[in-house]
Amino acid sequence: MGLRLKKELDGQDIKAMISPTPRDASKSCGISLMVDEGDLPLIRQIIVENNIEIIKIVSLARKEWKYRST
Amino acid sequence: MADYQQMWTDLGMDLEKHDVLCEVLPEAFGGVYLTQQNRPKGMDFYDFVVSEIHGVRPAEMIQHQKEGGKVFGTFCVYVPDEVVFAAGGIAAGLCGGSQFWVSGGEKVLPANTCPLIKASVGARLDKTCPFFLIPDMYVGETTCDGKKKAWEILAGEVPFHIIDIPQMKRDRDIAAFEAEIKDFIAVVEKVTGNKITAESLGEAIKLINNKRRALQRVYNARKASPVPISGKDALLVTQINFYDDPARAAEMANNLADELEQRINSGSGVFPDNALRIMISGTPMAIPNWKLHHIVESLGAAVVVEESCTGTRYFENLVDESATTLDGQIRALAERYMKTNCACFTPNTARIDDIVRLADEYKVDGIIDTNLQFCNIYSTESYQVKQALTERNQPIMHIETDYSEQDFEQLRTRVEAFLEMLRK
Amino acid sequence: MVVIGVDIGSVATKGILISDGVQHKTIFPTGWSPRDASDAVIAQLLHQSGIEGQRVTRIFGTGYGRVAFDQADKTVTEIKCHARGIAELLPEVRTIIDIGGQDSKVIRIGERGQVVDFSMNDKCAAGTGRFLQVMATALGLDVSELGAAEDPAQRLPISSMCTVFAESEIIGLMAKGNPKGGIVAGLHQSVGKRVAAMAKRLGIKEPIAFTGGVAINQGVKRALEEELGAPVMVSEACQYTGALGAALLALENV
Repeated sequence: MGLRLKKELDGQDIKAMISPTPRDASKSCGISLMVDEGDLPLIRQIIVENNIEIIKIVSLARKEWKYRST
Repeated sequence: MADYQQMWTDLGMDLEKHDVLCEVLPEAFGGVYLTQQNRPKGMDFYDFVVSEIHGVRPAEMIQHQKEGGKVFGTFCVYVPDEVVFAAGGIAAGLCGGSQFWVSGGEKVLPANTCPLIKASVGARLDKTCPFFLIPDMYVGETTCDGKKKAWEILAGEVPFHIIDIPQMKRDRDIAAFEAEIKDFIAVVEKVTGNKITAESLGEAIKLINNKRRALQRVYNARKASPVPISGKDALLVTQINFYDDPARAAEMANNLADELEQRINSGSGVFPDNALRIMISGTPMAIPNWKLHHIVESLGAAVVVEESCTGTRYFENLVDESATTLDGQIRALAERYMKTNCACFTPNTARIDDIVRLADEYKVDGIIDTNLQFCNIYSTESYQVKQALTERNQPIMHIETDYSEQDFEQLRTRVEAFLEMLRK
Repeated sequence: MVVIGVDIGSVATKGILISDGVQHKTIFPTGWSPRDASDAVIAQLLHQSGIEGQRVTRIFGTGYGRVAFDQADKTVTEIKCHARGIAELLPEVRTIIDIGGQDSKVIRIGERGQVVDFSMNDKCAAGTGRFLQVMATALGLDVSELGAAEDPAQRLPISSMCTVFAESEIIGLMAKGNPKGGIVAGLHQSVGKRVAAMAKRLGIKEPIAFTGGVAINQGVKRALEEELGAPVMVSEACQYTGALGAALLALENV
């Protein structure tokens, strides 16, 4: 499901990053997509249009990673 | 996303302990991987697999078992996966790459055992990894003393078969390995209840060769400058290939290679074209061991090739597909596997030849020869490797490390100084 | 031009300010905060030289604490800085042995002070200043007193390389009433042996210089010379080699 949504978003040039679900969002140990809050209305629409099943949408503060690549 | 709690409970996992592991993954993967710029789209699949690392593939394996199939857990690139797939089984590389499992292994193993063995034993005994609990059989091998003795401990947990790997590469050693493959075929046939035929083995040889060809394409793309994919991403691809379905693994790697080849055509890369190009040679880096790659690449240099079991040794040589009889196929398998240059062989000068050749093919500026702490054979061999490369004026540095974070800063200093030396 | 080099070691933070060819230097204990120590060093250097902060063109940082050093315009590894520093202090030197608080290094340098090859101890305190610190405490001495306390004529062999085992070994030796001077000489030999082995593995080219805080200790110098079978040069400014290198690199802006 996550992959399907990612494909739909890619098709419309909406930035999304596949990520292990952050713990502050859920304890599920599964996939989630990280997206910009500004794109949310559009993303919600895509979810409904394509009948994609999601668990929930959680808003998180931009985080400072402990390790960084740059 | 599916809920895997029930599956994990059914496997008898220690959910509470496992939850601690689940907690660190998003942070580690997010920081090390997701902060990289301009990653290929083809990495989405691998990001997805990591995101559901203990869910999506284990669920497939369990489904396979429900349909009567068998799963074999392996720990070495010398184990011929072809045999398992020819009998309708699934082979999955199990090596543990996280410090999280090390303490579990230390409960039964001496402290001066390599972290890969400690983590592998710990993951099974602590019941915190589904991959270690699913297999119907473990397939061990005799590549080092640490592993040999660890198998004796794990054999109390799960049915075990051990393949005896020769220590030299004379004709009679290749013949001996051929005999080992025959024994392995008999064991796999017995466990799966399926007969291996020339037809099924021929298909399995093609299946695994195709995966190797796809990985070769990904690696070939790394020869370009600017390099179209980071070393960390390439390492992740290889790591996941150890346990993914081989046909899908080939498809995904081919998709990624298509994209990388397009990037090369358009001259786009993930590092500037004057970035230092580094080879990492030595012991394998099992998932999620990304430590050294992360240190090198966060200092602005690109890892462009790994001469290791989680690198070129995994896929460089193909099995000859022309044989039509079982005997011919088994001979072809033995010849292919015995070409892999592991430090458990003596002499092992062909590995040095590999490093020299790869340094040239991938146009590397420097080599980091590394081994996991307490890996006596690779650590000893590092002397010969350094001598040979220094003679050729190829800068090389040796690093011994483990899975812990303790030496992170010290390693960073060493790598940074090495890069400064290369930049002069 | 005014430049500053700061070397933030695990034990001490050293600073050198160069203003129109004139050097000013200072040293502070690093303590718990590398950031505070480097701030203090810079403040002291400015105070000592009477130069205003705005006149400083560049600050380069080095040493293990460099990562936390936010005042630096650039950070460079201590390996490169020691090479550059020695090229200034003892230009004929081709091999540097640097023993600091938490690691020891052997650096081979070329004619222009460039690093040709180097090696560093793996994660272990044996053969470092930390080893001597632990042993000094066990002997009831301050680490700065070790050099003068040794008595090579009565040297006792310390067989354990590992810091933990060596500590109990010397406690045992003291309990048997062995002379402290002999134990200290044995400790120095142990460090010398360990570091000399690392140097031989890398390959030594004379002349050899000994740098870092431990180079002040005459006993370790003696032991190193014995184990290497070659003379070892120690500059008066041995502790400042890294800071000097950082300042010179800042001057050259490389």
